[in-house]
Amino acid sequence: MKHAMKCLVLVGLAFLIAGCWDRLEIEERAMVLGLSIDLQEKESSDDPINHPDVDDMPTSEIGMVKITAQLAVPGQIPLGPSQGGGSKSKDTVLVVAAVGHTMDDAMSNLQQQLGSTLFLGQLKIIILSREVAEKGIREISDFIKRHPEIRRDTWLLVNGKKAEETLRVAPKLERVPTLYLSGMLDNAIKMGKFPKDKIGQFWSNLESNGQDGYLPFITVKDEEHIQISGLAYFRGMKMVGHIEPYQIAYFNGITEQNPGGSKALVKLSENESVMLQSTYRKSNIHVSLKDGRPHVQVKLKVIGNIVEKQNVAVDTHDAIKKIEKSAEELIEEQYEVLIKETQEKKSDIFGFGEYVRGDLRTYWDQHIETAEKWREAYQELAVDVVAEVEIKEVGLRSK
Amino acid sequence: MREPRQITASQTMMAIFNSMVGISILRLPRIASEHVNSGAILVTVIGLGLMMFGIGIMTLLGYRFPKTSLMQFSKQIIGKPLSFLFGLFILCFFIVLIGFITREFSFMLSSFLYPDTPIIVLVGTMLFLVAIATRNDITTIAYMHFFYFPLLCLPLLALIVLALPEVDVRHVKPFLGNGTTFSDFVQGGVTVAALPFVPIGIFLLTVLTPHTQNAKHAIRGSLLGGLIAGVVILLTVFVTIGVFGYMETKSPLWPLYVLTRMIQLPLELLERLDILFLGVWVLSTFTTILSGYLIVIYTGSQLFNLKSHRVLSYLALPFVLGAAMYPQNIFHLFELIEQIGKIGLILTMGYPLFLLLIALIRRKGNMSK
Repeated sequence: MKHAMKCLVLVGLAFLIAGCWDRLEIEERAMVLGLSIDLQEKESSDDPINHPDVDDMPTSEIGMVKITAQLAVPGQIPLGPSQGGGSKSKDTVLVVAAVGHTMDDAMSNLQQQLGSTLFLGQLKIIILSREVAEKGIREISDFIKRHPEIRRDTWLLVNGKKAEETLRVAPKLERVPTLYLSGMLDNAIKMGKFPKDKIGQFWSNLESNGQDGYLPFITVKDEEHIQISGLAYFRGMKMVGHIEPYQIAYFNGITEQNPGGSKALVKLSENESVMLQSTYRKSNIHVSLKDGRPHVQVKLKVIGNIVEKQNVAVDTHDAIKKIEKSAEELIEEQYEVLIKETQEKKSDIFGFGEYVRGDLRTYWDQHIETAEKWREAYQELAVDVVAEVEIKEVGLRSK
Repeated sequence: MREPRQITASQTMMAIFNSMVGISILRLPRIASEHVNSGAILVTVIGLGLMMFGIGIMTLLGYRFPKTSLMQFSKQIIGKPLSFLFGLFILCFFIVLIGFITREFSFMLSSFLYPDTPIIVLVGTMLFLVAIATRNDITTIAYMHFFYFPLLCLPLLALIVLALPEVDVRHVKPFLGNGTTFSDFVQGGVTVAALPFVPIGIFLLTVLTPHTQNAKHAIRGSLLGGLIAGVVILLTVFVTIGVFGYMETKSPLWPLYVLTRMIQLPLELLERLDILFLGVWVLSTFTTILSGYLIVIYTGSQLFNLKSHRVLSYLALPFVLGAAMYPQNIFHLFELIEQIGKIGLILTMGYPLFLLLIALIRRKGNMSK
């Protein structure tokens, strides 16, 4: 009798330990791969699903939002290598959209249209439209951070125009458009053309008192390609501008993103130029107090190769030294432009403020203290950039 | 009953380590940075220093009174009524504390993994498993810790190593924090030392010491265990703050868990490690609750002169379960843990110190050397 009781308890316990209470079969999940967030122009055009249909409903700070989700159709995503170019991306994914007063309101309205439970655990990409980013992402951030299924290695992007159209684009290289896009960004990091900037990194920058956040800025070309078109930078929670793709290389230099890989066309004279590709970047940032104000000195070292030339002889050590010199001048000049631009917009994407906070503790405590005050101080911050270029390889030619 | 085998120094060390590394270290980076922002590492050092002080006192007591438990020698030192009263306090404290840790663990599980499972099922299952495990004698429980130690220690070290390249040194500077005062550090240090893992680690010694091979082993094992656990805990705080920055560390409920969710193996061998690490956290919580539960029933059995701690294995269950189900929401729970944690500091450090001083004055116990 005693044994029977024991067995019963143990069997019961086994059921509980297995954790099947929350079992949800994969077929019952609506796997969301990508989300896009747009503004909805027309007011009160959502269905009364979470609230009565009245005019004075609380609405998020950016207004009515429209969420578009790209869902994986179960059984259509190939796991192994694809066998022949059979199905198009139209068949493997489903794109649905819903409007709501707040983020979760829109998500619930989306759920209302679907038979299976929305599952965000495989979410790869969240795309914001430029308008949304400019109006502020505080509430969107809160929603994403609060959601237990969304991870910090998701990509958050800003689209130049409508975010929604990114999800409707069908690149021919991959069957699932969002996987193509996230793979494209991962690859851009490996090729040294883009800083490591997944959502976790973005939040750390955004929250830090001495730094502002930046996000990948993309545009849709010819309605079927997606292009990385720069870096959107933020002041606090709001996007205030974007830098051009070629400036990302300089940004990567200061923030010491490795491996290198971005290229720069160095002009030597009227019709002489070389194409320089960086392979390694090293930046040494030192802050000090000069006349009671912080002064930033950046010593930047770029190691690179020559991959192309126009009308110039690349055959002696001296010639290379000359090219190095011109490249150094170009880099220093470009930095001035880039830093000036961000200073005007009061957006310290380089995180110089974090160096000041860390190394000049008493100055920070007495004069700065808050992120808002740092942005003011950043406008007048003196930054000296000294570049050093070292060319290692010139390809296979001897001339 | 057969004579229990003897616990070695390394088993003591591992038991202390396993008991300290638990659910509390998942939110330790947040607690530390809330008080002194980027001085979080220093404040953790202060908190862990307090902990080592507590362990030191307990080992000294154990050295003076080998082969007797806290309840027995406190009777010798301050007399029966007073020691009974303090014993009762300690018993109640640990019942509530273990309940709260179990509840925090269940909260974490339910928010990340089991949204639909009722909390009482998560709490009940864990406590029931622990209760079954404590039916063994203390030497066997020490063996259990011995078995689990590598399963806890190695993944944690791996986590630290994998997170190190992501650390941004600017985030941990300045070492003293921005705009902090001396009292911030004192308060922060006390709050860290009041986290549940500290009293459990210290009081586990009172259970283990009478069963170790000799007093020297107990001293060596406990100090080493505290030190290793302290260093590992400190490193986890360092990588968490270093990766997130202190501002971002304040936002998640369990920052260290969020960190494990974003760690990846090099070469993208496995895209996600968090399921593996979730297993590690379940194990670490199990070992912590196991030690805590053992303290409860061991103290209880000594208090009421029972033959063995096993008698209470199931009897203590409803009390701990009751404590676990009391808090309404996560913030209520955290506030309660902080409050009883500070009371716990008096019981786990003040009381042993008091005993040691009285023992010195009254010249009780083993005085050799």
